[in-house]
Amino acid sequence: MIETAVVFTRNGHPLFWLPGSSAGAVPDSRALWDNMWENRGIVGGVAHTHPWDGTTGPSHEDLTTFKAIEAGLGTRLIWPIATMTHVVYITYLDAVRGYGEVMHVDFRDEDHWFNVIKTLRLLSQNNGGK
Amino acid sequence: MADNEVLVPVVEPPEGMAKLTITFNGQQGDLPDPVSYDSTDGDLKQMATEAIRDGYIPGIDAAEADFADFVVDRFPARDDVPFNRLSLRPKTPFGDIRSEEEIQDVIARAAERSQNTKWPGMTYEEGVEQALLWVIEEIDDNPMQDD
Repeated sequence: MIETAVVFTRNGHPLFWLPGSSAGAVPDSRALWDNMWENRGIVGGVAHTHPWDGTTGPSHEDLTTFKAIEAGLGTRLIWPIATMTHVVYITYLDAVRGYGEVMHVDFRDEDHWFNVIKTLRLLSQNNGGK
Repeated sequence: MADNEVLVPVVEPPEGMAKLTITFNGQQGDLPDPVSYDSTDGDLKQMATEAIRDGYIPGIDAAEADFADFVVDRFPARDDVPFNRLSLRPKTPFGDIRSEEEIQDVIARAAERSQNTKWPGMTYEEGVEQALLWVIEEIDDNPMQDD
């Protein structure tokens, strides 16, 4: 498995796929940034993968990338991380806690898509494009 | 054109110099003065930080900016754009998690060296701390890189 990242809109539509260079890393990409900048009015976040079963959390590299992209765009985004079994939704919580998980879903559950859609709508409303 | 974008006349930087474009807080603009194309990333980030603090970049509101996690793209002059360009933008990599193979390699090398340590002044606890900090990516240096 090679790690992958996808830029998506606030409605959850994919905008740009970027394959990684290994099972554990998606390299820096000017093309990914250009896509986010060109779509800054509609971009909702970037999802990427971690190659194992179970829940997960962002790496140090992930967190510094979240912070940098949000500083560049001037807006908060949603940062899902998908493993073989789960999707964990990360966003900026507050100045004390920094980034944290707002929910995770096990996509082996029958109603996981309902939970995903509900979460994305709530986060988009809360972020309000800012 | 977005409201926050400002048209700035393109002035070609002289030989060896470059135009620096900065993206920050949803805005983008060029440093009015040319900079050396060979400036280090650190120097360019420092120039950008000071320029934004002073409100010196057309199209970018004055602010305290932190470019620690930004990168510099370098575009040399070419036929259709006959001057050097530099772009300061956010980094975008994800992951970089330690692979099991990478961790196993460090464990094996540590075991090999345990009877003939290169670090007699370091405590056992300090070694554990450094190794675990590397695993969770708090430090970049491989704890056995000098082996």
